[in-house]
Amino acid sequence: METFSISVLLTKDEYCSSAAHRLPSLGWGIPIGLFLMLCGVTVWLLELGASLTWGFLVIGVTAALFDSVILPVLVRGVMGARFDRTRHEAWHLTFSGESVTVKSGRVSGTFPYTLLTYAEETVHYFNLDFGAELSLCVPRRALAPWQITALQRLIAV
Amino acid sequence: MAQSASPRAVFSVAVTVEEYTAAARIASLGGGRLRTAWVGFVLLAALTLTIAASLAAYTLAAIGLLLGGGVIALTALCLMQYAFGRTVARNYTVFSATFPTAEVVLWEDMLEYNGAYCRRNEAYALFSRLVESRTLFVLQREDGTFLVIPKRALATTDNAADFLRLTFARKYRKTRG
Repeated sequence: METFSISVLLTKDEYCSSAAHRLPSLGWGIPIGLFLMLCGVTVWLLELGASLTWGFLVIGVTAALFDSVILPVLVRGVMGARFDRTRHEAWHLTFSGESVTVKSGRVSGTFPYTLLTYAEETVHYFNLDFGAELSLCVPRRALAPWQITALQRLIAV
Repeated sequence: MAQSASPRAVFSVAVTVEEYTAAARIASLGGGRLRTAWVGFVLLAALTLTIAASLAAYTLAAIGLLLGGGVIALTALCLMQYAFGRTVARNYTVFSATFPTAEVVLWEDMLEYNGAYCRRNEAYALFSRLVESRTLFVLQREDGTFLVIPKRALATTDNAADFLRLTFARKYRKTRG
């Protein structure tokens, strides 16, 4: 990969949206939700009570939507408040063939891609995580087309 | 500026996997996902009990629902513990590669955490709390991440532990773990 450098200052929306995307999902919200909704249907068929049926259905729908809808909305709210409280600075990033070098007011260092633990491309940005030590959000608006291609290749590996 | 004065303490530390795991657990319970999970469990239990109470006339159904809720809660807890263990092990791999041995410098208003490939300068004001356990100091950030300072590393310093406690007096918590 050809070496390139960029400077990034995230907007509040990018910061919140990136955090919401990073949420790890255990993936059991939908099965549990479906099971509870099935319980609701069973209760309705057995005529055990309308309120109980609605109870199961509401809890089931909540569980099924928790990971994909409810939690991201909550996280965006929390992150918005956090963005206002904490100091946000520009990051200077240099991507080379083997590693990314990071410089900001708080962190400076070189992180080899072998330590990359999470990488994701969305419509608006790239998320790159190096364990709990470094979470990078690289907005596409800061990248030239060839740099986007280079990051896509990096993620694909 | 604080940096023009001499630091309050300078010491080296190599954090072990046991210390890192203990710190991650403290950080999770103090404000991370595990703490949130307990809220979820309490809500689930309350809802299950409410539904079971409305089924009081159908004793078997109520008992079945309670048992089912218990099994789901236990399974979820086991899955979360498993995921937590995997995440911590993965994070420690990155941490130990980045900071095989860290030099920690405590200034009046900030600390430096310098490793072989990474250097952090973080103002105390940006940490959300300091948690002291029997063997560790865990400095938690707002985003749930943390810095860990084992107490054994402070043995060579003069009052560094007291300095940390005093600095974080309004954000200080002590655990028994």
